[in-house]
Formats: sequence, structure tokens, C-alpha cells
Amino acid sequence: MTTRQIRNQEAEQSGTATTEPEIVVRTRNLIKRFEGREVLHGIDLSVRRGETLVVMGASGCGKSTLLRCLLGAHAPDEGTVELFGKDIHALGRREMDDVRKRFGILFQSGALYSSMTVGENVALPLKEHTDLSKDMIDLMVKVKLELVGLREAEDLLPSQISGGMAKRAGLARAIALDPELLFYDEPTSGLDPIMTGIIDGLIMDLARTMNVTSVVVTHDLKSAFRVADRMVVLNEGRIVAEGMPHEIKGHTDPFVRRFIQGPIEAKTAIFPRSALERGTAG
Amino acid sequence: MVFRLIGAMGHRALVLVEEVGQMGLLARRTAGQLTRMRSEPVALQMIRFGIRAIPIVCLVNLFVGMIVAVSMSEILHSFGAISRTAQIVAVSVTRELAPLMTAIVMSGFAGAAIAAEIGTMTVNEEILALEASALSPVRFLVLPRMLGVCLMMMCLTLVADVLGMFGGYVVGTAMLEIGSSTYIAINNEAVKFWDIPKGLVKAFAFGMIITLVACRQGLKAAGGALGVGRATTNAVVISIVLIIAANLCFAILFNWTLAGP
Repeated sequence: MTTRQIRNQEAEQSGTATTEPEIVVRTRNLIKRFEGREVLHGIDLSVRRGETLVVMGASGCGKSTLLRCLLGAHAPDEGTVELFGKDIHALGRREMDDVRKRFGILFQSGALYSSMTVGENVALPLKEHTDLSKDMIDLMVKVKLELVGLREAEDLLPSQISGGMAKRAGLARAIALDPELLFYDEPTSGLDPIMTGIIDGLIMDLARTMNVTSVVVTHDLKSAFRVADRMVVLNEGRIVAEGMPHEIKGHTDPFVRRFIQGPIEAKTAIFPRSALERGTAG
Repeated sequence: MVFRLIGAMGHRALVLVEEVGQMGLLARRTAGQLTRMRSEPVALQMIRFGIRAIPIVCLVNLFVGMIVAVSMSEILHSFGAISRTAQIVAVSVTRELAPLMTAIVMSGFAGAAIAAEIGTMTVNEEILALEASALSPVRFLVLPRMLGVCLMMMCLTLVADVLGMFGGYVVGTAMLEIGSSTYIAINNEAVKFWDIPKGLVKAFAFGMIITLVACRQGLKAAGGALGVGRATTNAVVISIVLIIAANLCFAILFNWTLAGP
């Protein structure tokens, strides 16, 4: 029985299981400034248990900052971030570590520990946070790597594997402790369409089979609409749209429409529109 | 113009004070992890930074001993006390030069490597990944490196003591025509028992300075390869300055305050 199943059983026994899924992630009026410049302007969002929320937005809109605030890496200047009902920035180091053991994160680059093999990367959280025997940890590592299709890469170093494999290995490490919550930072950026499909499939499988709550930060539209239960669109540090994927598709906000459909014509310094028009007229 | 200069100096001073304060906090956090220390990673760091540094430390300190002997020979010859070269080499090497030169070599050898390694991990989000997994970078990265470098600094300083004195012996016997037995007798007489432990205390402290500076610079690295390069350069420069400043403090402490035994 996995640690997650044990937790679920405990929740059912204590009678805390309710019909309305609990809110796992919540931010209230989250404001973050860097050197006086406001990057996030009062973000309010919530994610329910088992839900996959996709946060979309153009580069530099504050997606990564929001993710770092959710992870506890950046303290908000105003507002709160709650994970599992606890204000994480009010927690002590030990309490925060207890919260951290309940979530996993897949970084954009995989962020594998370069001095360790893929297998050792996956084994590290198990060694440090569980009392499992070495044989059991080895078995768990094989299971997690099998899950992401990387069984053969166990003994390879991160420098010996491709970008797509590094992402999958990062995902295997993120799910090592059977987390209740998973954060994904640009999970498909820089991947070919086949690998993108594999990663999307893994995100959906984890949500469906293990009831994992997911927060996916991405600007890959195809992938976002494939995995999302609900979406928010950020623009210049503000939420400009929020809803189900079909609602976002039909949203009337000009930025959302432009972001989803792509600009009809690009204005570039190389071929300014006026020059193009002159060329056509001539 | 003057006000701007004073302002800039004040700003630099504040940055320096903050940096020293941050290193103090890092030292406290590292000390807090001592009970959770594992011997294997420490041994690994000792091999990595200590064993591999032995040839270069030997070579540098051999030359230092020789330089001191050659430099002092002219003055001592004029006083008719050429055999006292052994005394001067022994005292200067064991008290000052062996720990200092070993620390300077190690700041380039270990400090730069640590800053580059941790800096690369920082910009590649590996440190964030450790923290997000409820794993302390201080416990996993700083503590083994600090203990490894500090312990090896002490061992290397002992080696440096021997090689420095041997350098003086080579010059004394081969070039200054001091008899071998005379040189050894004067050398042994000059080295006081407490000079060696005092040198080891300094070596340990210098090791702490090297690793604290390097880890701090690595952990705050930002901005890709450029940031890692800056962190590495800063680690070497700051640690050399702090080592020399600390050596002055030790000189005052050992020679004036704790003059005996």
C-alpha cells in the first residue's frame, strides 16, 4: 500500500472525506515585488483536490514568480499562499518541510542532481524521508522509472540523457513520495510533439489514477487544453481569464483571444507594416 | 562628487557587513546540521579537495621554505649568524607561512571549485529542487564540504610545515654550507611544541573561511554562466582577503594575548 493510499484511508476513517473536494492550493491577494517593481498584482486562485489547473500566459507575465511563491521559494510582499489549508509563509522550517513532503515539482529543465545517476535522483527523497529498506527503495525506484518509461536509464548520469528523458526522470523523482500535489513548470517546453504527448499523457494519468492535484504552468496551448480541468490566463501579473477550457476558448478578453489564436499579423522591426504596404502598393 | 564618493563607499561597506552577516548565518545553520552529519560525503570531499591538492601544496611550500632561506641568508651572513637561517625558516614556516600559503592554494583549488559547482547547481534550479523536496542544501552540500576542507587544511598544513622546513634545509646545506646535523639541531630547537597546534587552529579557521565564502557565493549565484563565473572569482578574491585579515587577528592573539606557553 502506498503512502498516499494510507493517507486516504486515514482521512476516510477520521471522517474528513467530504463530497465537496477540499481546496489544496489557495492564494489570497498575492502581491510580489522585485526591487520596487510589482510583478504579481493581487492574485486570487484556488485548486481543489484532484483538479488540474493550468496557468497560462506570455513570457514574463509572472507565471514563474507565481509558481515560486506557491513553492515557498519567494515570500509574498502582501497576501497569503495556502497549501493544504496552511499559510506556508507563516510556517516554521520543520512544518514547512512536512508540507513539502506532500508535494512534488517537475522543473522546466528537470533540475536533476548532476552528480547522481537517474536512479539515485529518484531514490534520494525515499532514502531521506522514509524508513524503507534499501531493497524496497531499489524496487520503488524501478517502479517509478518504469512509470515514466525510463527503466533503462537508471544508471545513467543526467549529462548522458536527452532533455525529454531528463524531464521524465524529473517527473519520476517528483512522484517518488506519492505526492498529493504536483507542480509542473513548463513541462513540455523544448520537446518534440511525440515527447510532448508522452508528458501530457503522464500528467493526465497521474491525475486520473492517483487523484493527484496538479498545477501546470505553461504557454504550450495544445498541451494546456489537453491536460486542463480549469485554466487561468495571466497578463502582466494579473488574472485576466479563468474558467473551463471551453470557456477560455470562447473568452472575449482581447488579450486572451490574441494569446489563444495568435496575432493575426506580427509587427517586426525587420518588416514594418508600413514598409510592407508600400512594397505591395508599388 | 565627494558626497557621491562617500555614498559609494558607504554602500560598499554596508554590502560587506551584510555579506559577513550572511556568512555568519550560514555558519550557524551548518553547525545546526552537525548532528545529522554522515561520514561518507565528508570523506569524499576530503579526497576530492585534500588528497589531490597534496602535490601542489608540497611544491609551493618547498619553494616558500627555500625563498625564506635565500632571502635571509645575506643579512644573517653579515651578522655572522648564517646557521640561524634554520631558526628563521622553522619559525616563519610553522607559525605563519605554512598555514597561510596552504590556505591561499586551497582557496584557488577548493574554493573556486566549490563556488563553481554550487553556483551551477543554483542557476540550474538544483538547489531549489533540493529545498522543494524538504532536503537541506546546507546539510547536503555545505556541511560535507566544510568539514572535508577544514580537516584536509589541517593535514595539508602539517605536510606544508615539513616541506617548508625541508626547503630551508636544502638551501641551507647545499648553498649556505651549513652542516646537515647543525641545521637539523637548530631547526628542532627553534620549533616550539605549541607552534604546531597554533598553526593547525589557523588552518581549521582558514578552511572555514574558504568554504563559507565559496558556498555563500555559489548559493547566491544568478544569471547563468556569467553569474557562476562572477561567483567563482568573488569566492577566491574574498576568501584570500579574509584569510589574510584573519591571519593578522591570529598573529595578534597568539603573539600578544596568548604569548605563552
